[in-house]
Amino acid sequence: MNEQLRAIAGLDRVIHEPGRMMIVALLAAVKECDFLYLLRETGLNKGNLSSHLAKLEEASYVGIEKTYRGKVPQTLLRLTATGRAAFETYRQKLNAALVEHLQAKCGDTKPDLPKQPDSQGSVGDSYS
Amino acid sequence: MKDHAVPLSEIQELAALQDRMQRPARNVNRDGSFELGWGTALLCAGFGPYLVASLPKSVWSSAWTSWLGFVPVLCMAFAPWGIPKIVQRFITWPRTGYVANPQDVTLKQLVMLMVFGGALGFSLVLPFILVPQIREAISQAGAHKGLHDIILNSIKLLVCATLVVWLGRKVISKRQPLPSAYDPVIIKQAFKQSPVGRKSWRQVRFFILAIFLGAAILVCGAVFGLIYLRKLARPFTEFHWPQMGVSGFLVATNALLYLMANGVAFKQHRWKWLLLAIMLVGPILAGPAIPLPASQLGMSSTFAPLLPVMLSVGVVWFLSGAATLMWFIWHNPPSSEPSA
Repeated sequence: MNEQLRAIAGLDRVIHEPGRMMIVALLAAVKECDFLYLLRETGLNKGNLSSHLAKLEEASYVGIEKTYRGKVPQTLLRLTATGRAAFETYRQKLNAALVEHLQAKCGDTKPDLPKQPDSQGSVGDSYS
Repeated sequence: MKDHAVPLSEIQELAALQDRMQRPARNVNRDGSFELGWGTALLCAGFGPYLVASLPKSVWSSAWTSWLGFVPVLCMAFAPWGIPKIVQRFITWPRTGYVANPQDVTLKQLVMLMVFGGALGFSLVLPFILVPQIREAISQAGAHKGLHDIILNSIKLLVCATLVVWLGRKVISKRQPLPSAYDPVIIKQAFKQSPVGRKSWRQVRFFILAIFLGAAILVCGAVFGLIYLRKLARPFTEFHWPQMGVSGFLVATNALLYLMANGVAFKQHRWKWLLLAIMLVGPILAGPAIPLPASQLGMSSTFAPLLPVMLSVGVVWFLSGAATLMWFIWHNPPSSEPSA
């Protein structure tokens, strides 16, 4: 199995979706934010954003807190410790892909990639 | 498919991730609040001595009114922190949503930083006062004149040094790096694993260093050159090298800070280039035209000419911040949707 497919197979499916990746990347860069901020920054509509947040909350990646700022209702969102750890793993796997690219550019024929969890299996095994 | 195919999709994804992760940091000054705060601080610092000079002496001799002298100092100290907080709370967040960044400084951290800075300054200055006092006391053996000052300054130095050590750990260790998708350690290792990679890594480092050093040298050179031209046009006694150095340093650091604070905003607000040019040239052209206050509160001749420079640079910061804020309000109406 080539390294590219192997890397894709090892990526977290919850995060590896464009909409959710956008949300998690934004939340990873901030302490906390509200629904309106995410709505504007991601460009998603309310329904899409809510469904993505529900999936992330189900996976315990995002903490959602309903509160008030003055008399205005506010939904505070932050990445949980589990979410941060999952995102960190995801980020490292993407970095491993970049390392492979850099080494290929530098003429290294044997890339020294960090070991993947499914390094002995096949692509079919990973998805089954 | 090749066995070691280059995983370009992951690399593009990583670049997209980096773009998303840097967005909150890029948006910090999109409302111009930092520029307003920094401009206010410089204006307060510059106007302070003018306020002291303009008020009657009876104000400073009375215990009830002498505290007025601390008002500009307090404004100067808290404006860069307080003004962005106020602008965010009442203007930015109702429009673009609430966000708390990991780099946000709390009031406690700010006070700690100020105490640390003050203590560090005194720790560096006090030995230069203490050593001559001790030498003088030794040369006048037997006489107790000046012993009181030596003890007092020694205690001050001890307290300040203790504060520097105690607060230094808290202030320095608490700063976190900006969030990034790229892992510098992994990338550095990847570069260093082959001779070609090592060469590329050296080139990358040289390029980054050249950008920063080049910008600093360019700005400093421009400021010094303009001051020198100004000096040639005036009688020689009007300017001194230390004054030129301090003024040039202040303008150059502010120009670099302005570049860094705005970053990609220069693409959107092209008029900021004009303000940057005014910031560089303004102190040299307008500085000598602004009269110094009659009473300079014992300021040395090196630092006194800084007042007009501070005012000139502060006005540019403030105007830039105000214009950015107006633009932000105009293009971002308050959200009518509840945040839920």
